[in-house]
Amino acid sequence: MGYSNYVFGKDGVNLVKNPFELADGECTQLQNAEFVPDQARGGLAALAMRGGLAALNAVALNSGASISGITGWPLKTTYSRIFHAARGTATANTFRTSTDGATWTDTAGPNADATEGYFGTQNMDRDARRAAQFKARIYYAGGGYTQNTDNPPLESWDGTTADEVLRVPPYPGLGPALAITDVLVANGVLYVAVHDPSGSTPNLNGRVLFLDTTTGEFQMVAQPFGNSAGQQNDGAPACLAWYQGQIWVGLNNGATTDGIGTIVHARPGIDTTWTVDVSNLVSSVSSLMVFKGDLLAGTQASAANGAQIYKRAASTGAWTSEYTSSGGAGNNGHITHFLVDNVNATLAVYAVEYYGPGSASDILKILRSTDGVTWSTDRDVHANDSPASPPQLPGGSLISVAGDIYYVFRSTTTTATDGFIMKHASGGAWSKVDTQNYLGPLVQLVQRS
Amino acid sequence: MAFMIAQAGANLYKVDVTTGVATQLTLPAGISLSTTRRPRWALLNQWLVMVNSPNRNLAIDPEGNVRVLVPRAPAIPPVLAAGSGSGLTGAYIYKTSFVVLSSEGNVLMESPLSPSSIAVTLSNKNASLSNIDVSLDNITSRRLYRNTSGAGSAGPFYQVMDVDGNVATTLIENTPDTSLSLLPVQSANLVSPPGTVAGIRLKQIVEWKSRLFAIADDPDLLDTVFACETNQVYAWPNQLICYPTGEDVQGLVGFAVLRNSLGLLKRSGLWVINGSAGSTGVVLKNIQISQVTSAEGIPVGGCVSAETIVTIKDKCYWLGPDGVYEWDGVNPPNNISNDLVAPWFKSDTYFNRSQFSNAWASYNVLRHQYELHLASAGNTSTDQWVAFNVFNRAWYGPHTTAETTPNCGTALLDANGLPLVATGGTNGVIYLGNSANARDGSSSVITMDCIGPFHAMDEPDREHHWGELSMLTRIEAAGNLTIRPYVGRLNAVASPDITHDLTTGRQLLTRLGDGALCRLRFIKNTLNQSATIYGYEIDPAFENGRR
Repeated sequence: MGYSNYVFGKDGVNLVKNPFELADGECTQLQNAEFVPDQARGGLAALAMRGGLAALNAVALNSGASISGITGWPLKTTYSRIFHAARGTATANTFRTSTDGATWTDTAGPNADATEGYFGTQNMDRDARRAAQFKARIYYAGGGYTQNTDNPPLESWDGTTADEVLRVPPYPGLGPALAITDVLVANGVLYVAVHDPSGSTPNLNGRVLFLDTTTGEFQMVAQPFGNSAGQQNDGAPACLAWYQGQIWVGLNNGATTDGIGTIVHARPGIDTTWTVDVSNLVSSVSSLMVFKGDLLAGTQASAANGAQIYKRAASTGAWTSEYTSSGGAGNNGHITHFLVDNVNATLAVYAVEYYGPGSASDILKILRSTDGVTWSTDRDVHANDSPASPPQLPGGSLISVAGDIYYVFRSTTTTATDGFIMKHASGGAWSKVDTQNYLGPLVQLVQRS
Repeated sequence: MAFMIAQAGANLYKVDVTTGVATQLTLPAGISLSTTRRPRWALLNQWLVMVNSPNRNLAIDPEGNVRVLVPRAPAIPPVLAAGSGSGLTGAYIYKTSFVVLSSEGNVLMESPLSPSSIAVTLSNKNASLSNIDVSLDNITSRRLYRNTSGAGSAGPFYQVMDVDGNVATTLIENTPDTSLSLLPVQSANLVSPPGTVAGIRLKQIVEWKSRLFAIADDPDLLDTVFACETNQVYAWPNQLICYPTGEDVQGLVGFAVLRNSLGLLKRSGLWVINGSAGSTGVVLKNIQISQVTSAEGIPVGGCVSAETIVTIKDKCYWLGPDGVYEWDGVNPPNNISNDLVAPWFKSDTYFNRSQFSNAWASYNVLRHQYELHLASAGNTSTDQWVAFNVFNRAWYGPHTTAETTPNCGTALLDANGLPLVATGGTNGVIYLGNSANARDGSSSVITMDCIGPFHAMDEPDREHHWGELSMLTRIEAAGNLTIRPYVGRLNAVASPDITHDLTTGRQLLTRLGDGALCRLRFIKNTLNQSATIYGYEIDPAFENGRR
């Protein structure tokens, strides 16, 4: 007669029963032993050594200080940032990308950006023409349309999938929109500036619309721009900013008339008309930016005066000219692509000054200011980096989370590989980091894992 | 990738669960972490809220940016004067708040409102604002509110605009009354919780029904639960009181979170807030908080350590003063240790009960067990743990490790969404449990030591012959299992150890001897070697004289 126990430890520890009452499956101590519900390692009614504790971090945290609390973080916590700079359409490669700003490689994934040809009239090549990062996608004006025949597309790209988000519907009575001139993310939606056809200077046609990417709602803000009754005069939308709870729009009037540069604003969903905030800037407005509570505007040159930077002081609501391009009147002069450096220790704002007669007077500079009032040349791009005359147009700007600043300058033709990207490393100097048939814009795709 | 957040010493880290690479997070200016108070966490709306150890409540965004949970309110209102422009007629009053906006313009945080400005009476003038307060916290904008003409200081106040950044202090504005925001600000909701300034802290926080519920260490509010608005981590207008107040110096200890019930645990018992099964939220107005009692009407289920409260498959487990409780939200809490391991919790033989308030627990998903860490008898640190297996409802332990003193733990997910259990040691190292490595860390032996039942063949008073021992174990690549037999009466001394070769799977061993009782003790303590016991036989085994 024998005795068998094949349920050793099955019922765990029992310290309540008297020793003679304990069943075969009950123990009085099961130190570092456990039930593993896996036949290969034990299974029901078997007892196994507990699993080990595997060190996760090779280096003790805080020099071996005691860990007092940990918690899982099941959020979309990994963000990868990929710079995207649009190319011309010479090849299938539509953009060049970089993760470090130093090495740039081609990608054919995104749909093509709207090329220079769509902006050849009415000074539209001086419009902001930016792309926007929004909810792990970039949004930009697409190039897959025939101007005056097709409606211009709004494209998006998430690093994997290219989507044509929508086509801008034509304004009733007008043909297809000429181009999307700027996009801006603010107030939880995407604002799209559109230049419509058939207008005549200075009262060019256009609209500002907002896109709720969640609901698909795509609606016009306030009223259209144009010369008809019920329309806002003074130009088509060229650049956007969100300031003091309103959408602000710098207008391109397509004229060289001095002193008619106009900026308007409205409350989306509330206002049915635009409010003119200023209408006597030197010329059309190419760029808007909020800096230290004030609103900055970069303009084109007029027939009489050079391009200027204006500041609207929040304290007075008054516009004052803070900087005038030394290039003088005309010749495509404009100041554009404001960029606020709010990463590095000193809060600063950058812009590009352009003047392109194709002579010794050419100007292509990156300007910098820490107060919006006093501006200095941070980089003379024409002297140091741009071989072209007239200089190459600016195409976009961005600042990385590390505080590196980038500007892209367009190639002289769609196919020429003389476009280039300038980088100002945080705490360092400007350098040219890549050349290609760059078109711009320059935008950062923030992907969530 | 998947991450965890860890506090080590007075530093905060983001730790990659896959690689173990730790990145120290930058704390806001003026924020320090206590090394003697455990951090408490809650997730809501993609913010990880951290309280108790920081001197001010913190919120960590998905990218690891650490901010204060609620910016302190503006201390001063703007100063008003008539501007030189036109636009407004009547008496106007302004208020401001500090806000943090996302890059997409959404409000992430908003402080309470400033005091009301002194009214300015305008006659077709614009309003000139100066002395717009700037924040000492990291904010993105100041939000400007205004009443309508002549509405008075009682408001309502409507959003006018955001003053961008944290620099400008002056502004001109003439927004018509008709262009103000459609709805007035719900200023009564913009209430900051304790811990917004250093001093009084939130000591416990959980998420339930898309709200945060918290307890403060304010000695006058120990029985008060603070609750934020739905999905608004910055708006805490709600206070719930768990009566009777002031009956215990600890007040509320922690929360037991179930799908449709929120348990409020004191040392003396359990109170409950119930939500409806079909709702995603809970309405706090006039809500009923009732104490849970046994069928006899006796309060049951008190809790002595918030860190021991763990929810497992819509049941909650915690350490009470007399054992471990299980609560399903329907029935009164049930003491699940009383019938099996009561001496662990009711005597001083095994654990230092005076350290129960420092005990902590975590859920080991893969083993489906509640693991409770306690200080062993004579010690003050949580150097041992016991496990309650929910599957077979059996207790295991006490477990030990020579690697470190486990000090905190959590269940989490890896990069593929698969469950892990992590333990933080007093040595600054985080460990993942359930490792197939038969060791702790790189070189610490796991000492498996199991003491089985007395075998008596139902006649403990009779002498027995215990024959040859046959061991059946899982076949291992190498190693031996030490078997220490005890043959005799209850006070039998150990017989010489028997060695079982674990590579055999089955091995016939020596005779055990003669005595009334026989019990076996199994010991395995070799680095990188494991052991699994299927069972054993003793043959022959008979009552002496009756063979």
